[in-house]
Amino acid sequence: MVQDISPAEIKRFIVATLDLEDTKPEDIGDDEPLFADGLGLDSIDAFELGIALKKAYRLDLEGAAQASFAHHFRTPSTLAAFVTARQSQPAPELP
Amino acid sequence: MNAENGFEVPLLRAVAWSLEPGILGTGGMLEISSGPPDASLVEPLLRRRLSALGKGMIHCAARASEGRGPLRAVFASRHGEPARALPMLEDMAAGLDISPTQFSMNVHNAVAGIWSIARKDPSAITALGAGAESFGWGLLEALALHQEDGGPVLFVFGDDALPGLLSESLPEPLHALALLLDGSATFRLRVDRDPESDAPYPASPQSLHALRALAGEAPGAWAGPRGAWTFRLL
Repeated sequence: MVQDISPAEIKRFIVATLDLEDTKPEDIGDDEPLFADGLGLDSIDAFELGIALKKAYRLDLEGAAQASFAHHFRTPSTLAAFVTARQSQPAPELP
Repeated sequence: MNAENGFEVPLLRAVAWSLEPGILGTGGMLEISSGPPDASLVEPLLRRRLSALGKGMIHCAARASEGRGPLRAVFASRHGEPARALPMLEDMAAGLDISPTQFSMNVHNAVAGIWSIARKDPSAITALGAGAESFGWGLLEALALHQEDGGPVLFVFGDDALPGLLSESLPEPLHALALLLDGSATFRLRVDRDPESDAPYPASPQSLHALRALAGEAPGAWAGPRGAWTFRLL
């Protein structure tokens, strides 16, 4: 049984996965852009995050338009909604 | 020993770092430090990508080049970052996607790239590995660059212990060093090489023997499968 993924959970996942040493999950706004002028993540982070989410939540990306990924990865809120819609296993335990 | 097999390196500064204290010599021209490395030169979003080895190399490079502008550099390491390579190979074997972050930081010039970005310095950088003799050949490469025009060149070296599956009998404590080559140098490191030597191999890395010489201790003698090397501070 899978549950909705909250933006807070996504933020914890981002901080843990990308080794954001000086950032706490609660420092990131739910609607703050993750890339470029927002949190400052780059294209390698986008790849890393995508692969880590796919592995942790077994995302089913069948039929997902790749062109839409830029939209889904924009903020913690959009990413939480995307993972909720595509997940096929419950949330992993975070360290 | 044949003079053709030796070279002298003019050294202005020599900085070494190890995580554990007591591995490196003290004294001579060598500035040493241990404990957590200081890579504050690199902004946090870039710095998080560095391993302890990468941070140690930046720690030494920053100190050896303090006050300098654009600087050509040679970065050398025997093993690079096998602690990143092994998990990627395991993921590949399991049919999983590999981590882009680990992949990008696993290339041999990754630390050199971070260094160049952090200093906003587009000067030429070479990254090389030459087996057990990576320190010696890296230093020769830096000397060759210096001799092109007599200008300063930074030589950075670092190695870490191999992860379990890849480890061999040679202990390789986590350490890094940076040497600044310049015509105005007060110290010269004499390096002699005897390719015919059948001296027994010591149980520690070549770089640690060179550091002993830089620390003003006895000449550093080291031998490997391809001959013997001697490092002497003149």
